[in-house]
Parts: sequence; structure tokens; C-alpha cells
Amino acid sequence: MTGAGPERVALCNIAKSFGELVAVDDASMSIRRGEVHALVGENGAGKTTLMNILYGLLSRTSGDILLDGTPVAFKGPAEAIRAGIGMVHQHFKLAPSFTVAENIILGSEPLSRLGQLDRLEADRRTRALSQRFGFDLDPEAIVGTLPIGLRQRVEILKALYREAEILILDEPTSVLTPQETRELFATMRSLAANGRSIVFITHKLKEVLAVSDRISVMRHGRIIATTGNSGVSAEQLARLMVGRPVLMRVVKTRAHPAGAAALKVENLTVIGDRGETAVADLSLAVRPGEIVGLAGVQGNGQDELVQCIAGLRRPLSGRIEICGTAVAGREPLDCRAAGLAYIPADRGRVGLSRASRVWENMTLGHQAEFARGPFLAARSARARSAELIRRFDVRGANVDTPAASLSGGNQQKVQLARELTRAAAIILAEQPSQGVDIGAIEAIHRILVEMRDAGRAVFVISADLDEIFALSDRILVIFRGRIVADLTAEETDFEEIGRFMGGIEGPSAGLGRATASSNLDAGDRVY
Amino acid sequence: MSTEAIAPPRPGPPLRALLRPVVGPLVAIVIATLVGAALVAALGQNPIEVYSTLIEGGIVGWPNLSVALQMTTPLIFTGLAVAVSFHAGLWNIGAEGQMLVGALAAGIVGYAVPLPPVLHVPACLIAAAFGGLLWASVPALLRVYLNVNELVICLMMNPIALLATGFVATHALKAPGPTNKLPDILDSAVLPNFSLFSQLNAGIFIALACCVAVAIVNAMTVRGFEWRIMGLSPRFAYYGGVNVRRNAVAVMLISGAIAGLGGAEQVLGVYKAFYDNFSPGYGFDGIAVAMLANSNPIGVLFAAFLFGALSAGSGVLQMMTGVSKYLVQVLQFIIVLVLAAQFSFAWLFGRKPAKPSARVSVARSVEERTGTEKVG
Amino acid sequence: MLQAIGKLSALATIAVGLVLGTAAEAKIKVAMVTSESGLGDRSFNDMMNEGMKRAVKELGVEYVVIQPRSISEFQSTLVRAAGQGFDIIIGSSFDMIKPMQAAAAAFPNQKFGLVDVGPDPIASNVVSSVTKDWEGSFLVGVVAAKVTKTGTIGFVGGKDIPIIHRFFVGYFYGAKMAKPDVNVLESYSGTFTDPAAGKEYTLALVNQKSDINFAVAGATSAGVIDAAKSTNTFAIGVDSNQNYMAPGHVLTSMVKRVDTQAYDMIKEVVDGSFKGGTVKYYGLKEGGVDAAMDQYNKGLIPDDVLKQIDELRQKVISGEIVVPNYFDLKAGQKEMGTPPIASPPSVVNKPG
Repeated sequence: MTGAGPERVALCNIAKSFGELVAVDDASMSIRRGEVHALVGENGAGKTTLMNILYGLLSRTSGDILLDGTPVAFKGPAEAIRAGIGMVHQHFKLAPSFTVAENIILGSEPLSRLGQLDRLEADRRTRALSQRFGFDLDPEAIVGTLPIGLRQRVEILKALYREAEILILDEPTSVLTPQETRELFATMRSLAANGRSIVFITHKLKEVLAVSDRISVMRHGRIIATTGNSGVSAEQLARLMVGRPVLMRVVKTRAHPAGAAALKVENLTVIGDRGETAVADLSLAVRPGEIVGLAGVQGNGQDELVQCIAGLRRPLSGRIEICGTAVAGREPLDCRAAGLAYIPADRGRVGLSRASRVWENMTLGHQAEFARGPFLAARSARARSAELIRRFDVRGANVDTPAASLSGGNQQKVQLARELTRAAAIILAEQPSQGVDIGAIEAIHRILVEMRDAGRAVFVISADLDEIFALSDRILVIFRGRIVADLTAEETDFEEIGRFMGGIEGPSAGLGRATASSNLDAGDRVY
Repeated sequence: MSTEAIAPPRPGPPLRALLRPVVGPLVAIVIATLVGAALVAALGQNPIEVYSTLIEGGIVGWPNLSVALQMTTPLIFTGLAVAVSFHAGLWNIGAEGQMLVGALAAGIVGYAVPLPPVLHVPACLIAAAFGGLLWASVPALLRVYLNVNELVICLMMNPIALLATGFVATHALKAPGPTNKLPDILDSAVLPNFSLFSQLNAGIFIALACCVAVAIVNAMTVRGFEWRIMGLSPRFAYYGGVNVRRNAVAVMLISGAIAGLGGAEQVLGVYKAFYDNFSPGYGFDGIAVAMLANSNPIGVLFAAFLFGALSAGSGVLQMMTGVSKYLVQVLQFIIVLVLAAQFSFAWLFGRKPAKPSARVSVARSVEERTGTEKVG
Repeated sequence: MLQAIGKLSALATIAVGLVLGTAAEAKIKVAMVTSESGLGDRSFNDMMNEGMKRAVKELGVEYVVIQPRSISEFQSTLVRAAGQGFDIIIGSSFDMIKPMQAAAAAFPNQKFGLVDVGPDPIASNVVSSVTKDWEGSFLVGVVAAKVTKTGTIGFVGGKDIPIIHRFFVGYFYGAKMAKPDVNVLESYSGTFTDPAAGKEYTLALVNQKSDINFAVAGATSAGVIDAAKSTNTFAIGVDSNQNYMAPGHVLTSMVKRVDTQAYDMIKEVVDGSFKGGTVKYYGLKEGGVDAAMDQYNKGLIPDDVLKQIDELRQKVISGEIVVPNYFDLKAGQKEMGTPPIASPPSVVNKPG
């Protein structure tokens, strides 16, 4: 890890504001030839915004960009690409129904003499490129059928096809299994060794330390430190990111599950939005006093399973019991009455009304407590919310603040406050720390553990293995709609879980290609 | 933008918070005024003179004011009907049809059912509310049980109502004479008028009462709370255990009943009989009123009065300057256009910088749209 | 009460006058209040507007057009206009009778005119006019009888009611007068609002050899005209000039000259002969009805026929021929008018 090449890019005092909101504030960093440069920071620190400015997606309010010492001002990504800058976004911009080759050449197609798309030439070039970088991609494969890890390679290859010298990867590991992550890191290193520069945006500190040459830390829109990799610890980085010491792992005692299962799922089969079997004959149980974590690569049926438990989706067959009440196919109202508290991953649409005030968000589902005849005792509801804001340490909010103006972590706390104050026996927590600042993750995890200790059953669904391990007493792995492993947290490790997640081990071993197409949604499509 | 940066503790300057929902409508009114002035100037008239006549004729003096209030009354009803549905995230744009059916019901009970005065007016009102409710039940039930877009159904129910009531007024129950109308209602069913200058009548108090009632329901009751959440984020409401179906039906029926009452006001207070095709589009103007009012029942009063005063002023404008009645309609259209533009602008770009995730920004577009409009 | 209103209106007048600063010239000021369909209706409102223009040109008055959006605005429009110092306010349509009575009562010094309504006086300061539509129908009956090639002409009424019978009787009388052996078919579509029915009834008449059909059926008439186009026969329009609706197939239109009626009201104000409470009848003599001739029906009626038509028109004007008004006929009357002509069934069967 030398990373001592000449400077390619210099970002000087870049600032960007959206109206009153300052997203990037006087940030400066440099990118050298042949280095992997990690850009870390909490959600909303301005990492992606800064890189979008470099890539020409956003204009800057002030500051300069120097490319090889020459000032540049890209009007759009097309100009940035011509200058040798490539970017792979967190959500891929691929056409799922096109082949790998078609996706790669899209926008700079090789044309035959008659001006038609030269398909053979496209395949040939894709294959050559793929071999050159050791990517092992079939040019004729349909992108929609590829697992996420391979799709990411298509994105990277697409940038390399356009001769990107400087490659920006935005949170590339958030969708990968540990094995896929390792492969990605190998690719990144080999690209750097080839003289390319990689900017690696992430908030996962272990990964930063594993792959980067240099690390820049962003906080509040500023680059507050740039350091070499050696001699830095994850705790130090976390402290820089958050601005205070952070406890990296919650302290918890051994679980004491007791009594009958609070949540019981039996032989559940669910058809997904595209008519596929998303959940196949799945059974599981969560008992009071334990935290069960459900691990799996996104798009393996977790969403559908959770929606069925919450009453938001109707299963094809099977039973779901919440505290002994059969709720499969019933409405959310019924599931809640049976004893469910649900913290959805989709805060923006499902778990909160962004435009509503905090007290309204905290009161929904608790109307009965504040009903005085037909009237709503708004004053007591607000008083309770004020109390919850204190208890759950929701920062920067009073009862009348619109939920949308809270940060991800504080929105999550609003959800938690509402759901956990229900007299619920089973807490269904879906991606509880997604999009949440490191500092807040700590608090959220602590709260969930407290709930377990208070005798509630907690079911955590997360794509983040760190989180699964931090919380769970028992870990289930879901792969293609089935539970392929049921392991005690203390007796397993990342490697084993990762193998189950990738389908390499377990009942479906050998079927290496996950049907990850369900990960696509409208936002991923480019057409 | 960490915790501290993104959300500075914001109790917010209360004045600004109060003014925020008014800004959009005011901008629309100002733009409409300017465009209207340009139009007037292009026609070779003096904009200042035209506007001062318009204002004069709209509100100055009891004769003009009473006309403005007469024009305002039906717009309060239809505007409130639409606002009630918008508030809960439903698109009842069928107020026109519901009003016609309600008016017909009031017209029939008004002439065919002799009752003592104390009972006759309430009976007509109940009949009208029921008529509007009945007409609204079609889109409501189709929406809730077959998931058919209520907007489309409402739109289709409007001409059906016009033709159906027209059939009754021109054939089935037509009064003798050259005009297509039902027989005059009995004196016992008449809502008293206040002024010779207009047919302003006691119906305006019913309109005010409806606004106050809706404002109370929205602000103070459990149902109002649930409707508000439904309007801002239907998925959140559903997730949170709100019985979305039952509430949606209730809202549509209430909305239809209010529109139906508007029909009763016209029949009992203005026309004294059901006339075929009597409405010059009050139901559609109601959509504009609701938009201008931000779906706020008290805002509806102001928005309806603005449009009512414009109509009243239009009459005097025509008398005094010969400027066509279309000027006022152009002003109304521009207001609606600008509001719609603000709506889509908020929808397209959001008021806040979207997080880089395309998925999130697409997903929340709908909430963003209504949300940013309504918060504050 | 009335006094208070009068005072208020005076105040309003002064206020508006001050705001506008209009120096009141000696010119006569006229307000024309349209019916709810407003200007551009190619019917009464537009025609009345033509009368206004003529008054501007010939009498030197000035006028404004006020267009209420609905019937509910009639009263407020009239009452407020009454406070604005117009010398006369002229309206049209039956629906304006009651609003104008209210306005006239509140403003006894304001002159009003109401065009083309019934025979009852409106108020002591209102001049109203009745159109002798039977005389107009007589005229187009003459035209039809003179032009028909089959010897059979038809009539499509909106409804089988006395007010429509009056048109038919005039039409029948004119036809028989022009050509005693002409066959006149009588039919009623039952609706004033359904063009499809109009077409259906017309086709039935055409099947019975009728080649000219007089439509007196409101919106249903459009179907009558449409049928004329598709069967290559003629229709005759009513009320306003409908010749343009199917050039070459609308033989003529029985027009009520509301422009003349309105013009005359203004003229009376200008020359000081305005006398409230009177009801004026507008027939052929007064120029209140006519058979419309314009570029759309040019050449459809031969010149010699036009001459014969004019002779009959003159006889009506001179009083030699009195066209019977259905309402004046007795039930069961076998003959009618001067000279006597055998009554059609609608007269013979007229309810007592």
C-alpha cells in the first residue's frame, strides 16, 4: 500500500448548499494516482454530495476542482466521464432486462459501418475488458438475473470501459456478502496497482482499514482529517466521525428466553410483487426474552416475510401467530392488536409521516389512549411525546417539528419511541440502524437489548452483519425465501453466516446465483 | 449534516410558521394579478382603474358585498367538500355532481312534501345531504373495494348527475312553462334572503357552520387526526392501524353530503326551485377554492370569498368598463395554474435537498408533495 | 325598506362615480344584460348585441354588456346595474321576469326593458315585448309551400303543448294560404334537448315525402337540420338565424328580431316616448319576426317565389290577412283566420 503517486485531483474549499441547508462546507481533499482513498463519515456528512460534485452531477456553490493541476468545471457526468472520472452509485443505474454487454456499452455503443449496433463487437470488447481485470462476467448474461455482487462489477466495468482513471465507489459494500466484499477489495487493490485512483465512500470502519491507503473523514460537510492507514484505529476514526467517543458494541448479558413463542411462523409461502415465490414454506419462532436476528442478502424474501407478519401483505399459505392469535392475511390493525410492535425499514413511507409533526408520529397507533369520546386529547398526547423525546433522546426536535427535518437516527428514535411504548410482546425491527448515525446506532441497540431484558421478544432483520452480531442471541439466515441456518450467535462467525447468505452452504448449496432481482425498484431503473 | 447540523432545535419563529401555508396562495394571487394587469393593458385599458373597479364592485358597500357573499356561499360548500377529501388524501372532484343531486333532492322535497316551516327546511337539507352522499358513495365504494381511482369516477359522475337531474327537470317533474325547472318550492322551505341586491340567504350560516364543524373535527377529534395522517402518508396510516377503508368511505360521504348541502342552499335560498343545469361550475370552482385554501376549512372561507368577490366585482366591472366577464375567469385560472405549478414544483424537486439515494427520493415524492405544502 | 335601498344605491352610485371619475356626458347609457348563455351564443344574446350596435350608430347612445354566469346572478346584476345610472337596462329570457320585477320595484325611477316574453305587463317601469311568432311561422310556411317539390312539408315540434301549437298553426296557415293543396305533416319529438330524436322524427317525415321540415324544438332542432343534410332535403330554423348550421340545407329561419325589439326600446328612451308598463307586440308589421335571408341560403329560393312571398307578407302587414294566434282559437273550431282555412287537428282537438 504505497499510494504515493502524483496528485490527480484536488478539491479545494468546495461548498454546496441547498437553500438554507449547507451540505458541503469548505471541504478540501486530494486524490493521488494509484491509491485507494476512503472517504468516511456519518450519514449526511456530505460524502456523496462532495463526490457528486466531482462527478458533475451537482454544481458547487463555491470552490475549485483541479484535475492534473488544471481547473475544471464539469457541466454534467458526461464531461466528467470524458475526463476519466467514473462513479458507481449506491443504487445501480443498470437496465435489468439488458445483457451485461449492452449495459456496459450503453451510451457509447460501437457501431457497424451501417450505423447499427455491432453486437458482436460489443460482446468481444466486454469479454476482453472483463478478462483484463479478472472480472469473470458473461457478456450475454441478463443483468436482472445476476446477483448483486456481479451487478456491481458490471457497474465498475462500465466505468472502466469508458476509461475511467478515477473511480468513485459509493457505499459499494452495503449490498454485498462478506465473501463478495473481499472480492471487491481485491479488485480495488488491483485497479490501484494499475495506476487508477479509487475513492471509496463508506461508513464501515473495518472495511476502511482493510483496503485504503489514505482515509479522509468528513463531518458536518467538512473534511476534518486526512490520514494514512497505518496507526489509526476504528475507535479513533469513529471518534473523528462523530465528534465524541463511541462505544462500538453494546454490552449485553446472556439471553433468558422463557415461555411460549411470541411470534410463530409456520410453513409460510409468499408470492412477491413480480409473481415469484419470495418466501417458500418458511417456519420460525421467536420467544420472549431473546433477540433473533435474520441475516441474508437483500432480496431473499426478508421484505415479504416482514410485511406478512405486519399485516401489510397477504401470504399465499401458512400460519403466522402473534401471541397465539392467527394473523396471517389480516390487517395491520389486527396484528397490532395481537401484540406486535413493528419498526419498518422504510421510515419515509411506512414508519413515519414525514410531513407530520413529531407528536403526531408518536401518537398514531396510540389513539385509543388519548380518545375522549370522539375527541383526541391532543394536549396529553403532546405531553407524552415531549416525555418520549426526552426518554429516547430525540435530538433537535420538539413535539411540533416535522419528522422530515429530523436526521435518520432521530427519525428512527421517533419510530422506536412510538412502537416500543406499545404494550407489545413481539418487536419486529427491520434494518434498525440503516441510515442511522453511528452515535445513534449505539443508543438504538441499547434500547432493543433493554426490551429483550424486559421480557419482550425481539426479531431483528438486517442486511448488516455487524448489526446482526451485535444484537442477536440467535441468528437465522434466509436464502431464497427459506431459513437455511439457525445458529447460536456465540457459536458462529462472519465467515459461516456469509457462506449461508451466499447459498454456498446449507440446503440450497451450489445454487450460487441468488435471485436478487427483487432488489430492483423504480429508483434503480435508468429508463 | 449530522444530528446537530441537520436539525438545530427549531421551535421556529412562530410568525413565520404561521405565514408559511399562506405564502403559496399569496404568490399565486400576486402572479395572477400581474398577468391580469398585463392582459388588461394589452386590451388597451388601464389596469389600475380595472382593478379598483373590480375591488369596488366586489366588496365596497352592502349591495356589492351582499352579491359577493351570495357568490361565496356555494363556493364555501363545494370548496369545503373538496377540501375535506383532499385533507384525507382523497380526490373528490365530483362536488359538482353531488351538488346537483343534492339540489334536486332539496327541490323535490321542497315542493312535493308539505311540512310546517320549522321542519321543512331541515327536511330539505337532510334530503340534499343524503343526495350528495348517495352520489359520492359510488366513487367511495368503488375506490375502497375495487381500488378504482376515485378521481376518474368522480369526473364521470359529474356529467351523469347533470343529465340525470336534467332529465327530471325537463321531463319527469318539469314545471309548466318555458324554463326547464321543477315547480317552485313551497314558502315553508325557503331560506330567507337578506337583501334585495342579491339572493344572499340564511344558507351562508349553514356554510359557516359546516366550516366550523369540519375545522373542529379535523383539529380536535380522533377521526380528524387519522384523516390528517391518511392525507399526508396513507401507507403510514395503514401501517399504524388506521382503518383506512372505513375512514376513506366516511370522508367521501361527508364530502358528498357537504356538496349536497350546497345544492340545497342554491335551491332553497337562491332559485326557490330546482333549475336544470343551474350551476355555472361551482363544483369545479370548489377544487380551486380547496387548493387555494390548502384544504384548510377556515382557509376555504377566505378562498371562497376571494372567488365570490371576484365574481361580484366582475358584474360591476362589466357595467363600468365593458371589460369582459372572462377577465375574472382568467384570473381564477391563473391562480389555479400557479398553485398547480407550485404543487408539481414541490413534487419534482422537493423543498429539501434529496438524499442522494434515488430510491428514497422517488419513494417519498408523494409525501414530499403534499407534505411540504401542508406542514407549517 | 325601499327608501333605505334607494339611499344605499344612491350612495353606491356616487362612490363608484367618484372612483371612476367618469364625467357624465349627455349620451344615453344602455346596459344590456344577457341570459346565462352570454355573448357568443349565435342566438338571442348575439342578436340583441347587434341591436345595441345599431343603436350606437343610429341613436348615438353608448352601452355595456353584462353577462351573468347563471340565473342566480340575474337579480343582483339588475339591481346593481340599477344603481349605476343607466338610462335603460334591457334583458331577455323568461327567467329574468321575476328578478326584473324585484329590481323594478326597488328602483321605480329606473327604466327597464325585457325582450321576447309573455303578454303580461312586468312592472310600471318596464317595457316588455311579445314576439308574434305565429306571424313568422306563417311566413316560413309560405316559403315552404312555395318551394316544396313533393307537395308535402313537415313540422317537428319539441313538445305537444300549446306554445308550440302556436307555431304550427301559423306555419299551417301560411302554407295553405300559399298553396291550398299542400300537405302539412305535424309531429312532436317530445323533447327540446335531444338532437337524435330530432333526426329520427325528421327521417320519418321525409319517408312520408316531406321535403321541407320546420324545426321548433330547441336543441332538438340540430337533429332536424342534420337529417336535412343527410337526406338532401331542407330544414327551417327557428328563433335565431340557423342558416349557417348546414348551408344549402336550411331553407330559411324564422327569426325573432330581438335586435329590433331592443333597439326600439332604446329609441323610445332617446325620443322620450318610453312608457313603462306597456307590452309591445312584434309581428311582421313591426319588423319583430322575419324569414332570415343571408349568404348561407342564397339561391335556394327563386326570385319569383321571393316576390310572391313578399306579396303575402304585405297582406299581413296591411291587415288584409290576420294570422290566427292559437291561443285565440276556440276548441273544436273547424275554420280559422281571414280568409278561412280548415283547422288542423291540433286546433280541432284543442282542450276546452
